[in-house]
Amino acid sequence: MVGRPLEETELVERARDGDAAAFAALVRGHQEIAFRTAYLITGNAADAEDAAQEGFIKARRALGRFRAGEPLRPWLLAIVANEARNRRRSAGRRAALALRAAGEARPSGEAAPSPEAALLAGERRAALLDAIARLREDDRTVIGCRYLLELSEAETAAALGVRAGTVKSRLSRALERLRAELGEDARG
Amino acid sequence: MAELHDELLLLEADWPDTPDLVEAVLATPAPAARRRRPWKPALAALLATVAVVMAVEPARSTVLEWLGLKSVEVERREPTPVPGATLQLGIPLSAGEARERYGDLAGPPSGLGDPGGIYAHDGGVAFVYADPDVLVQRFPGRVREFIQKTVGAAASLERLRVGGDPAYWIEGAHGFAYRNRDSVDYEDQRIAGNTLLVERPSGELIRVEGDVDRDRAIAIAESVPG
Repeated sequence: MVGRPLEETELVERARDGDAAAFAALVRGHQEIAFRTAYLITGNAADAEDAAQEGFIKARRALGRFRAGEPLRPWLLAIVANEARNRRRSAGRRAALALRAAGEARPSGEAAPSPEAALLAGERRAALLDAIARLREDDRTVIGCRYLLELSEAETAAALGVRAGTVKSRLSRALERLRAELGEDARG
Repeated sequence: MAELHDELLLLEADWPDTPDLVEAVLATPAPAARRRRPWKPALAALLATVAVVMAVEPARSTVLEWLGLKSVEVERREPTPVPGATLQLGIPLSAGEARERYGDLAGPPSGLGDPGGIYAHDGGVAFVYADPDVLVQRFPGRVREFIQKTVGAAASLERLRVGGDPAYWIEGAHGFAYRNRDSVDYEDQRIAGNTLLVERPSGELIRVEGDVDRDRAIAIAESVPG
């Protein structure tokens, strides 16, 4: 874990000095998380691509103002998420998130479940994603950042444009509402 | 709550494929490289301007290829409008005269009622409306780009498809300049508001500018007859 920050710091330094290859390496390293963060906000792949692309362009221009030694990812995500919110607002519609559950859950270290259990788990995963998609935007975004994108609290705060302390309380409320959504499903 | 938390930790979503953004990002002009020694401010500003202008030229063809509209050239820099510059709408025409001279190109968008004015300029036809306050222009296709957009920090550029055709939506104040068919240079740049540009397969360019949001602009462009 020591090598990567040093490497990134060096890339940032070189990119600041006009090294296009260094900035390209930074884009490659962060474009997936940037695109997915934007997708979480816009709910639309084309808008997410535009937001991520424009975010990187603005980040490149603003690299001179980036504080050396700080982690780059929260800074990048803040710029990209802001672009994504601008696009969502200009679209004038509620972003509808359409995510499917991935075919396989992550390895848990436990024995493989029975086919029946695996099927139930798959249904549960799909139900969770459906319930998340039905949440209001703030709730959906904070849950998506923390659990689907696995962003840290600091990165989530940057993406949401809020203070780190706000993430905890917002996530707690979002989880309560997600639980209520799932409860409604169970009764239905 | 702990059980839900644990379930969410195991949750994985099937995300859309991440596009490779490197080429598009690098196609935009790079900022002036950082200098390690302090400069006198005036000299620094002058050199930065020269660096940006030099960077724009070689990047242009790549930018056009990325953006995908042949008629429109987009520069990502702050606009430099000429004070007093206005859009030259051209000669006012009646609907009948426009049809006679310009054929299909004189067909106005449906759904906006009769235009308050029709103008012809340099082979294109413009329809002016008061409510909503909007200008719709139809330009015949050309070999080279003839509309220049300068998009700075105050505006955002979005690529989209309108009726399957490539389009841009530019929201916010940005620079706009037009080049006549027989001219090498663009006319004076003016500031334009929200604008939708759609390029049809025939090469025709539809331009909708005015006090409308994106969806309304798209609806207007889609109602322009083929």
